[in-house]
Amino acid sequence: MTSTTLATEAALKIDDLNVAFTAESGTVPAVEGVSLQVAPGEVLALVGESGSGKSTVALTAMGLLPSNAQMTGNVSVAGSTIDVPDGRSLNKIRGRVVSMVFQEPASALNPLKRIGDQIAEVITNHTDVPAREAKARAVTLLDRVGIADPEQRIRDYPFQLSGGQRQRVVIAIAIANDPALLIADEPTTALDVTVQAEILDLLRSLASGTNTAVLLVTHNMGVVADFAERVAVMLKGELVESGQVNDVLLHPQHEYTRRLLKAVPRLRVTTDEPDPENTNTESAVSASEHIALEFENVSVTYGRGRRRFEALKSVSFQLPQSATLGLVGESGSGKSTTGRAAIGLLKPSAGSVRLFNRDLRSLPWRTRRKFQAQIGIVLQDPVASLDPRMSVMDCVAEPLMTHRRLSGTERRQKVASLLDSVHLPAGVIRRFPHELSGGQRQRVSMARALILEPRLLIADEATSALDVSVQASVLSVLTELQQTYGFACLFISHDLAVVQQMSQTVAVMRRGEIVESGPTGSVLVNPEVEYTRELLSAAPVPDPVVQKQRRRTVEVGGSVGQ
Amino acid sequence: METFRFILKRVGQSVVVVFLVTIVVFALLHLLPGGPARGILGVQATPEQIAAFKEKRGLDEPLVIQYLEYLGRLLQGDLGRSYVLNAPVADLIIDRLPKTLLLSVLSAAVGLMIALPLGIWQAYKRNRPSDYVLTSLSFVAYATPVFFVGLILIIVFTQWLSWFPPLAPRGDSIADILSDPQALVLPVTTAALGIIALFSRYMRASTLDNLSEDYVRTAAAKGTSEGQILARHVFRNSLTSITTMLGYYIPVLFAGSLVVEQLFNYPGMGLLFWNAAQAPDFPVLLGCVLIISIATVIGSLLADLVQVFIDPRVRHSS
Repeated sequence: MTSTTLATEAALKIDDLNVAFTAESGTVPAVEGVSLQVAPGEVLALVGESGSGKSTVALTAMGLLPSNAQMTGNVSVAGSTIDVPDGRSLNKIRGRVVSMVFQEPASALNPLKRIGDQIAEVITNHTDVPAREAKARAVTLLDRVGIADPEQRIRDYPFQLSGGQRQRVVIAIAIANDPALLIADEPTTALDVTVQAEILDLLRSLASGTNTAVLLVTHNMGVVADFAERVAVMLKGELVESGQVNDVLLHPQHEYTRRLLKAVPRLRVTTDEPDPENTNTESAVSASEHIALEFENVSVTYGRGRRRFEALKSVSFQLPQSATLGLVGESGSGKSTTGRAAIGLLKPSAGSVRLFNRDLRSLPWRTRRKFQAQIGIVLQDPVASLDPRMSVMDCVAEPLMTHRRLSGTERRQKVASLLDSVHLPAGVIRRFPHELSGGQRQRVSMARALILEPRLLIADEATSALDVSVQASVLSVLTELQQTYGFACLFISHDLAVVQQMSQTVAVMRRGEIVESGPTGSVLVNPEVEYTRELLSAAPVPDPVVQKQRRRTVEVGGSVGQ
Repeated sequence: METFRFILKRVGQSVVVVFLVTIVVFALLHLLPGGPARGILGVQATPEQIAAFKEKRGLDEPLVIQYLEYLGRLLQGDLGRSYVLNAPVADLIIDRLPKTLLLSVLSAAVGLMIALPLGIWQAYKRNRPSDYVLTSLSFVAYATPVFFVGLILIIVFTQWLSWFPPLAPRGDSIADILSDPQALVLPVTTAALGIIALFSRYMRASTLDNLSEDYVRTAAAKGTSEGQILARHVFRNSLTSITTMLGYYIPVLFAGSLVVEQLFNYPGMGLLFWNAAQAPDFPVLLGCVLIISIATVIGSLLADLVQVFIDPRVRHSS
């Protein structure tokens, strides 16, 4: 169904939209001159990196802009004009004509209300039905979004549901009144990849069965390829390119779209494709006689008694010096626990962790510190992992202060040379974390991790919070540094494509166990274990043609996940 | 079942805390320079007089023995005899406690009934003139000492306007006191004013915190109006932090009644404590401090229990 075949009113029509936010420093433009249309039943993806204004466009369509926003231009949903100051008439539209699915299902629901009541609210807001009838409809809706035992689950509180189930509840709220337009703002970004596939399946089936148009806001090109019919690309508040998904994703016209697509890490799905990214395969093999990190049947348990929980179950692997081991798996699979056990922050309940051929926990305190100085760590959140009150100089120099005796000048030189090797300008040394962008902050973290010239680097979701173009530059810096310094790297990530690009060997984790491991080229291309296959097929690739084929294979070959 | 275990655990913790409190209170008062004997007999007492007094009252025994004896008597409901009033401390407290509870509960109820809607209103009208005016007023009210507020109220409403009597109701029983509601207005207002000032601030902040939560945006996306969002979603969620604060506020309420009771000559625990401190009458002081401490522990226990009913996560995760 395309926009030209229908003479009816557009589900969403935006004409020359400008939005600016008033901040202390003055007015900041967020959206400039955006015009777009979504026809009934159509799925339009709005893509762009953080700060591109895509979420602002979505919020404008809901009339949910914050009070410090000024907008000009026309926005109408199924013929009704959306105007910011007019709250009262907007309340009649929201939840009935246009509704929204949010990014974070953990916080999108009221924690103190039963989910049944939260679904019923959107029904009683717009239709004059008795409470009992609204509740009955809530049960039907829960069933429609694929939650088993809806009669029982309706009495649950949000914290009793998993992330995917919560997102299903949010979707149930959004579709309760058969809206003309459904806005989905990064609906799967906070979810695991197999859950993401289920939610995308659900959204697709809901959208195709009705006349509801979908405005999908996302940064994930794989999701776009999987779900959208048309796509619009935003850059710094402006629309730079739009068209059919196949045209834009396969033959991008605008220079920015091309750059963006090039930066997206792609999962190789066949063996005959060359592997241009992964260049350090050979150096790894030659250095493999020195083992940097070895896990031998390591188990870690949390709690005791009834609450005893095995976070790691007999995990074994070897990480040779100068090589990279990718650790993949979904949330709760034990990836980060493995990282914490590796640096001695967690005591294994069984098995041994050997760091540079020594058992860390058997060493006396002083020697252990010396060993710990040879490990560098980069964590996921570039905001939370730097002390906001320490300058870049202090942040990066902190390991030096703890482990080395150097004069002030020596320290400064060392920090400056490290900042140079992560490609940060010399001027940032006096700046504070909040003055830097996300990618710059992550590079500061990397400089801090590498200042002691570690023999092992642990990167725990180090690029997961970054935009793809920033991720690409951070990853290339990491590869370059590894070639210079020759450290081993434990690369923890949920992103299979990134792991494939970065590591020679890979271990797939599930519920505290390694279910499959081996050379990246074989495990992630010809997996032997069903779970790895599920993970691989659940991750959408940013090529609409390939993705449609893969989806068909999955549907024929059985369901994904669960 | 889990709720029951949680309650049992919290009650157990409270009992332990009360025991620790008895140790601290006992030790503090006995470690004062000169000890209780010097306090009773005055600075001019001779060492012989003090020694004789100590022996008579058992004050020359080791502190541990004195404490254990004290604890043993405590468990039988015996808080000792007042040095000054020569009556059992327990009787004095049993006579006064209900009156102070009445005053405290009344002022807390009146105060909260005004403070909570006021805080929500301010959050709703945030950063607008009415919010600024109310914020300034509550800062002034919070910064003004209780006795000063009381004096001003007495001057305005008894001297100038003659609406209310300057003295609290006299009477031995609760019924007597309640039969003269007019005389209760000024003491209750004085004590409530501080609650209004403080808790309207808490409520405003808590409401604003909740208004910035994602679930409020979800509710708005359902077409729920801002008023309905406040009533259906934000109010109850904001109460979770208010109940905890209220539990902590109980000692402040007692301290406030100390001044209010003195000011309006109301025969409650505050007046008893005040007179005992002036004497000084150590058994009465010990008794009062103990009761106030127990009230504080019970207060935060109640706050936690209320939390269990407001927040399902507390019920299930504990």
